[in-house]
Order: sequence, then structure tokens, then C-alpha cells
Amino acid sequence: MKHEENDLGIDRMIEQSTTSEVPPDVEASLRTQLADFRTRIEQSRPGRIESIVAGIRQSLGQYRNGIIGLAGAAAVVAVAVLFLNPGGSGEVYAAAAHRLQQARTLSYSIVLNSNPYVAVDFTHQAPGFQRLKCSWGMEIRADAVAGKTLILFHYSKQYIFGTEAEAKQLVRSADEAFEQFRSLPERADEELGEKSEDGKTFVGFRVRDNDGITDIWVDRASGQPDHVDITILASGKQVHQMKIDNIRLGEQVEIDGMDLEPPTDYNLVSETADQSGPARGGEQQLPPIVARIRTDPEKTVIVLGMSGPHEQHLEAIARVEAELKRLGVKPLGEPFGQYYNAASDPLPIWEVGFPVPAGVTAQAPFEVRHIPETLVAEADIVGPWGGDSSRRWGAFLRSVLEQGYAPAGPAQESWLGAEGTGAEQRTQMKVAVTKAQ
Amino acid sequence: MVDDSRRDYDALIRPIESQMIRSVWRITRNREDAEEAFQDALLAIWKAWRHIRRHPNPRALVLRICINCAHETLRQRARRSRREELGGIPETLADPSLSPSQQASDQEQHEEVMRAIGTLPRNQGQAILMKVVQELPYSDIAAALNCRESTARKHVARARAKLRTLLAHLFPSKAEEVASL
Repeated sequence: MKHEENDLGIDRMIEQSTTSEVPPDVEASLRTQLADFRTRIEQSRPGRIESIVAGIRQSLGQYRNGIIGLAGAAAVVAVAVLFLNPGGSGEVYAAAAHRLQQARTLSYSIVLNSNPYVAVDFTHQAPGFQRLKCSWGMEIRADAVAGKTLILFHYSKQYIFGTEAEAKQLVRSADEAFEQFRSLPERADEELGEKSEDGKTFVGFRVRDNDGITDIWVDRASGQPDHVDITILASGKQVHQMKIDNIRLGEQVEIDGMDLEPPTDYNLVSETADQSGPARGGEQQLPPIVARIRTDPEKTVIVLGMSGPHEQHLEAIARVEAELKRLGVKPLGEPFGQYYNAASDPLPIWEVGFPVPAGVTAQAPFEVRHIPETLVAEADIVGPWGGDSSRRWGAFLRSVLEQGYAPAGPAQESWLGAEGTGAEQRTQMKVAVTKAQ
Repeated sequence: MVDDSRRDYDALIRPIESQMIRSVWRITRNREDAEEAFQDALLAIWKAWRHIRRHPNPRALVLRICINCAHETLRQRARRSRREELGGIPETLADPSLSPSQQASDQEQHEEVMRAIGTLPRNQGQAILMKVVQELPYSDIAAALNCRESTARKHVARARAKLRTLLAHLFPSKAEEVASL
């Protein structure tokens, strides 16, 4: 009885404290929003892929929002693709869906097309935290509780803080995706049967949508969603292929990775600073770097994959040259290096190579790769090779973003000129890009 | 396509437009927060539109999204004021029909109650708001939260229990009640 009275008291208190007529100006403002919403509903239905493209376009309008938005949108679409529409009719699917619903943490990688190479490693730690690590050396950590976003540029060892609104927006997107766990429909459009890879058996489910085909593969043994293949269509034609893999559910996420304090050796990007970024310890200021956007023609390259310190460059290039000599192949251009993470990473992953004529074949550890025509940004730095690459890459990436493009691949450098002639040496920076608008 | 969408909108949203607006306003009672929360709600509804159309109780779900976004604004506000300790309470619009002292007390109580609700776990906060502000039956709350009715009751009961503790000082003591008679 006492509790019932108290319940009524609480309810009455909430009621009293929320009883308030909507002021006419607020009502008018919210009704305007509703009218816009209705138009939006009538004109288009949101497609998963449409959402990300719109998100990218919208978010790349401004430098800071752009970098957050791009990676954020990529992650959101991946989550959305995973959870908005997957259907399933079997117990395997139901079990996988249940695991997704119960997960408190979620991590996965997204790879958009194999070339140019784009990957985003996404970690969501409920409640309110998420982290995005992009293949082009950028990392975003958002904490909606503290209302902070930290963006790290690993190539240039720089950082900026996002606004509270940006943190809120990023994390809310992920939270919404988690909410979508509840919206799993009962049936998939198609069951794909089983396939075996690396000693594992996967059961596939296909979901079709106006803008794409999503194949979800569930590990038969563990019941975990293992990977998702997405074909993005436009006017019925395939325009992109996306893969989500390395899906980890409910795993402990390392706390350090969510730290919102930048590493001590990183410098704050000044929004009004010149493009060369801050010079350290008596270094000379770099001249402004303006990226050129152009289409790189298709080509064939031979590469040698490497890991470990970048000091091995000369040795690695010499090994490729020796292999080319052994094959009797003359390279078609200067050597280049391609970097999949920062030199400061515990285990730097990179490769060196040369452009070669089509039709060349090679044996491991060498690899011959065909690179299709690619939109790239590039810039040349005149002067001795080496030097502070982090500073020039910071300035270069900034120029790319300011021109309305987004990096869409790993960083690449070519070294032009001759050994020992520092004054004539040139370093060419290059990165695959996509147009934002 | 447009006709279908219009029909969907007219069937699902139009009858509850006022309820959506009222819900968001009653919780936020601040123009800026209300606009932000409503915008967030409409975006979430748009993103989930296909799902909402298929949901067994779409209107309850839409109202839940409104409550969710308004509640999220409260939670942000609660965190902000905790962080700033003072001065972090956003200005609210007072009810002009009340005297200045009543307005002050009304505002204080609203702030305090909403701050307390803002500290509740998400499901509990949403459930109590749906129950009291939107006056939804437990069956609708359960449908909106995608849980069993008994769970929805538990969310509300736990929310009430926590609020009883958090807001105990706002209840008049027995002695005050007797004195006021």
C-alpha cells in the first residue's frame, strides 16, 4: 500500500514537472521539421548505401567534419548493413542474431574494394564509446559521455579534438545501430547454403535491397557472424564491393585504445596554421604543399611485402632489383614504397616495388599486381629523400581534404633522382582518393 | 511510390504528430533542446522507416524514438551539469501562468526531476517517461521496447524505486502534510 502511494507520488511529480503547454513558436518550429520530414519520406526511402553516400557528401563539406564524417559514415553503413536488414530463417541465423543482440562490444573491419584499398577498423564499446582506425593512418576516438572526440593523424603525428556535438553524433550513430539489433526480420530473401574456407564451414544468408546485395556468412561451429560481403549497385550495375570481416562480438576492448589523451609525441593541428604544419626543434618550415588530383593509368607492379622498421628500405629495394635482374625485366619507372600503417606502429607494415611490363610473373615473396586506373592525389617535394615525412604527409592530406577529396588508399612514396645527388632528388607522395561531391 | 509513402505517413505519423511534439517538449522544456531532440528523432525515424512500417505497434515505436531522443538530451544535460557542477543547467522556459516564485519552484522541480530521470538506465528512463508523460499502456511500452510486458513493468517499477530515493527530499514530510491541512 505504501509503495502504491509512493508510486502515485512519483508519477504525480513527473506529471507535474512535465505539464507545460508547448509554446506556439516551439510548436511552429517542430511542425516545420515535421513538414520537411514528410517531404523527405515522400521523395525517397532511405537506402543503406544512399545513406552513406549522402553522409560522406554532407560531411566532407568541411575539413574537420569531413574526416569525422567520412570514417563515421563508413562505420555506420557497415553496422547498418550488418544489422538493419539481415534476414534469416534458420536456427543458425537466429543464434547469430541473438549474439548480436546481446553484444556489449563490437569490432570489425571494413574493406571497400580491393583496389584502391580502404579499410576501417571499427570498435564500439557500449555505452557511448567508439573508435575508428582507417587504413590511411587516421584514427578517431569518440566518447559521448565526456562529449569528446580525438582525431589522430598517425602519418603526421598530429591530432585535433572534435566538438561535443561530433562525439555525440558519432556515438549515437553506433548506439542506434545497436538498437537496430531488435529489428531483425524473420526471413532472409535467400539462403546461400554452406561454404568452406580455412577449415571453417559458413552458412550464408542473402538479403536484397534496392541498392545492393548483402551476403551474411555465419560460422557453423561457433554461431558467430563471421563476415559479410556487400555488392553495391547503382542502376542495377555493380559499383562497389565491400567486405566486413574480423567481426568480434563481446570481446574485451583494450582501454588504452579508447584514451582521449593524445600521445605525448603528437602535435596539435592548428586550424589556422599554414599547410606545412608545425616545425619542430629548429627545423625549417616546409613550403606549402598543394596536392594535384589526376587519374593514374592502369599499370602492373612487382612488390615485396615488408614488416618492421623502415630502415630496411634500401635493402628491400635491392632485393626487388635483384629479382628483376634475375627475371630479365627492366622496370618501367622509379621504385616506390607503400605504407599500411605508421612507422611508429609496433609492427610497421609496408612494401616496396617497381612498375613493370604487363605479363611479368614472380614467385613468393615477390608479388605481381595489376593496378586499374585510379584517381589519385600527388605532390612532389624537391630535396633529399627522407627527412620528416610525417610533417609533409600532414600537409599533403590536409590539402587533399580541402580540395573536397578523401584519401581512399594507403600512402605511397616514389623516390626520383639519383642516389647521392641530394639536390636533384625528389620525393613524390601519392594516395588514391575518392571525390567527396 | 509517393502515394504509398504519403499513405504511410498519414497512417503512422499524422495521428500522433501532436503527441510527438508534446512528448519532446514536456521532457526538454527548452526550445533549443526540443528542436535538437525532435530533429534527432525524425532522423532516427527516417532511418528506421522500413522497420517502423513493419512493426506490430509502429506508433508506440515512433513515440518511443521521440522519448528516447528527448531522454538522451536529458542524459547529456545531466552529464554536463555533473561535469560543470554549477551553471550547467540550461535555461528553461517558465510557464507564464504561474507567479514568479511559482515559476522558480516549478523550474527547479522540473530540472531536478528530469535530471534524476536522466541518470536512470536508458530502458528505465524511457519506460517511466512513456508511462507517465505519454500515458501509454504497458502493452505499448513493451512493444516499443521490444520486451515482454512483465519486463516493461519491471523497468517502470525500478525507475520509480530509484526516483523515490533520488527525489525523496521533494516529498513533503508527514508533519508538513498535517500542518498544511
